[in-house]
Amino acid sequence: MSQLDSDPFEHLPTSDDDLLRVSGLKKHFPIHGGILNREVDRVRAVDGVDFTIPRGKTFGLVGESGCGKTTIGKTLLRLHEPTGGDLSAKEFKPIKRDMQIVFQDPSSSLNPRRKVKDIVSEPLVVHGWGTGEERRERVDELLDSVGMPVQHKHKHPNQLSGGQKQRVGIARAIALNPQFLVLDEPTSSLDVSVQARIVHLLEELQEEIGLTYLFISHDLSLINNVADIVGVMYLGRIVEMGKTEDIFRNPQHPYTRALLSAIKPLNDRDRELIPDTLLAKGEIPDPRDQPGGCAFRTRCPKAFEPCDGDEPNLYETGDDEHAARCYLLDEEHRPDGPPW
Amino acid sequence: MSEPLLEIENLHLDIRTADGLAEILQGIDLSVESGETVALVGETGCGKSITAKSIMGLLPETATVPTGSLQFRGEDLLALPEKERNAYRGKQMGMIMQDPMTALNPVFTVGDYMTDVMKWQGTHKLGLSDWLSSKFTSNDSLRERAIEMLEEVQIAAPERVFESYPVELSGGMRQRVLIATALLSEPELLIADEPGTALDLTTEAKILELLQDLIDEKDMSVIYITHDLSIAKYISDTIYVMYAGEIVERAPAEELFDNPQHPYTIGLLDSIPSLSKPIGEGIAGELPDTLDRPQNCQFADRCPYSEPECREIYPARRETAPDHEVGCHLYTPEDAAAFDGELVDIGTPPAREQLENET
Repeated sequence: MSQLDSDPFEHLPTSDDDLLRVSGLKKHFPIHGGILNREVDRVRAVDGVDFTIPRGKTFGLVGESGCGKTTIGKTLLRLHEPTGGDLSAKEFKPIKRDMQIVFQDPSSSLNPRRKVKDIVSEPLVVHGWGTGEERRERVDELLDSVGMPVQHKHKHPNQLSGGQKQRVGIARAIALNPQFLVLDEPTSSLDVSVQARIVHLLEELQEEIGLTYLFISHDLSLINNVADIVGVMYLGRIVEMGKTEDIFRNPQHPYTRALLSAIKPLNDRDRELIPDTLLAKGEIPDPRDQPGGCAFRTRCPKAFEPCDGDEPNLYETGDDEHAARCYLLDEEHRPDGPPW
Repeated sequence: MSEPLLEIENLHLDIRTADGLAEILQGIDLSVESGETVALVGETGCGKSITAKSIMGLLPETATVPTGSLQFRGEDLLALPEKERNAYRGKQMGMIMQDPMTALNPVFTVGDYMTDVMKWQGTHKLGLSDWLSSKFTSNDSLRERAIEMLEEVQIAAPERVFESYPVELSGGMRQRVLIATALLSEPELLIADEPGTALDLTTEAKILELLQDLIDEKDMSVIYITHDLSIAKYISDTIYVMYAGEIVERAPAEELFDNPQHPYTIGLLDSIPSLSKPIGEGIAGELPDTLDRPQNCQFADRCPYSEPECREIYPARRETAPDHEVGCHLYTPEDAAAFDGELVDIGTPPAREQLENET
């Protein structure tokens, strides 16, 4: 445990409002091969990511499978050891207690052989919180706060529905009163009617306990509803970041526009908000063998000469705190601005 | 209107389990006209996939169909012996399975899979002589046909894909292979069981567009199964909303969105995250237990409008607007009369009648 208690990241100065600041975060997974089992290649799952999350806010991370969203979540919690970069989190000590995670699939993240009460009290036991009696009370209190009837505490996970299992996962995550929760696609295995209830539960908890969330999802409509700030990820990088309303009203990166245009509108107002169809070509490249220059250029319908050169920087879009990693926004290459 | 291509009437389906008889389907009525795309929408466990499997004749051995008819071009498929059923399965009706990762056998190449399908489709029992003679006949024409089909589903390098194993292909490619295989025999009816769910958003959008093009081009009838109402709206002409083994609402796609009537449909529509509105409250409670179905309205325990009568009288589906049927007491005959549509009283399902007689 001593290893976890020491803060591995260099402390950066943070402003009072920012709970978490991440800069240049990298996580590469080596691939070993050959007779000597040396590193022959590496998967750059997360390759230089910067963001800050203000206290009490929700940062939404969207992207398709394999883009590195989950790796960021796990690296923040040091379930993966980062390859490089800095993370500073004010007042987080010991760090594991203040940061927790809710996993994607509640069926596989709850131990099927343990009862609900044991699952929820596990973090309390691990961190030596309270006496047995206090822990039992805390479990009841936690189940109540996630809207689970307390009598369910004697059940095993397989006796619960998907929504109930995810409530247990949330109760376990907030057991130690953390400040920060990584929500890794917490609703993607649930039906929409259940998803709506879990989302509202998370919003209530955020208000009551003042939690800060990193909300990972592939569903843009959902992110639009839950996040204050959005980062769009592609192949280990954040390609566009800004306030939620700016990202959705004024998307600038072609990848963001491709994702948005894939949404099927529910009503006419949706239709107005969805940009014209822009289909990304082909499939997401192998992360071991990423294209040079802009990572999206092989699939981008708007790719032009500079995209083959260096990787684009983040360019301002004109909105406050809204930037995209695309040469279309570079005045030097596109004096007339992007084509939308 | 001409006779529908597929007509399901009052289909019930039970599955034997260790704990007793689970009532999975409780009277499905569904009809598909020639050239029509029908979407079957509902959440996990409502019986969408088992309905598709009943149509295809792919039910598990523990399943029994106590009542109901399933007519394809006027022929009752449920009454057919297995051997004759094979003439339909895969040939006149094709199916695209849900998960492209598991639907393909990893030890065969795409080419093996597709040529095998063409060779043996409709064969009831494979004799030794069939097998031997197949070893000595050329596969060239089959190969040509398979590659042509792979081209049709917009696979860029069909020859290479033909020689590939499933693991060498991405999810979107595998789904295209499955679509191509389902369409090899040019079926009149295509059943697509959540073909996009296991894929990424941008890939799903492309697969949907491809399917839409193929449907238009081949003028197929399609049953599209999905949990996503927005996709149902995009692809289908008519939407059937399923809940707990029943069809609770049926309407043309646009009409269902403009004028949802069943409280379940309303709750479902409200729960979908959208760009232009906040997420609704969701639907409280859980799906009823299939071993112990509630009496009469299945949704009553979760319904914000439920009245005692919902648990006492079965809410038969009736037409509340032209071509729009709802199974809910909120829409009484008086309400329905305000519309010009004709009332359709489907009566009490036989299983319930029996139950009521006993009590």
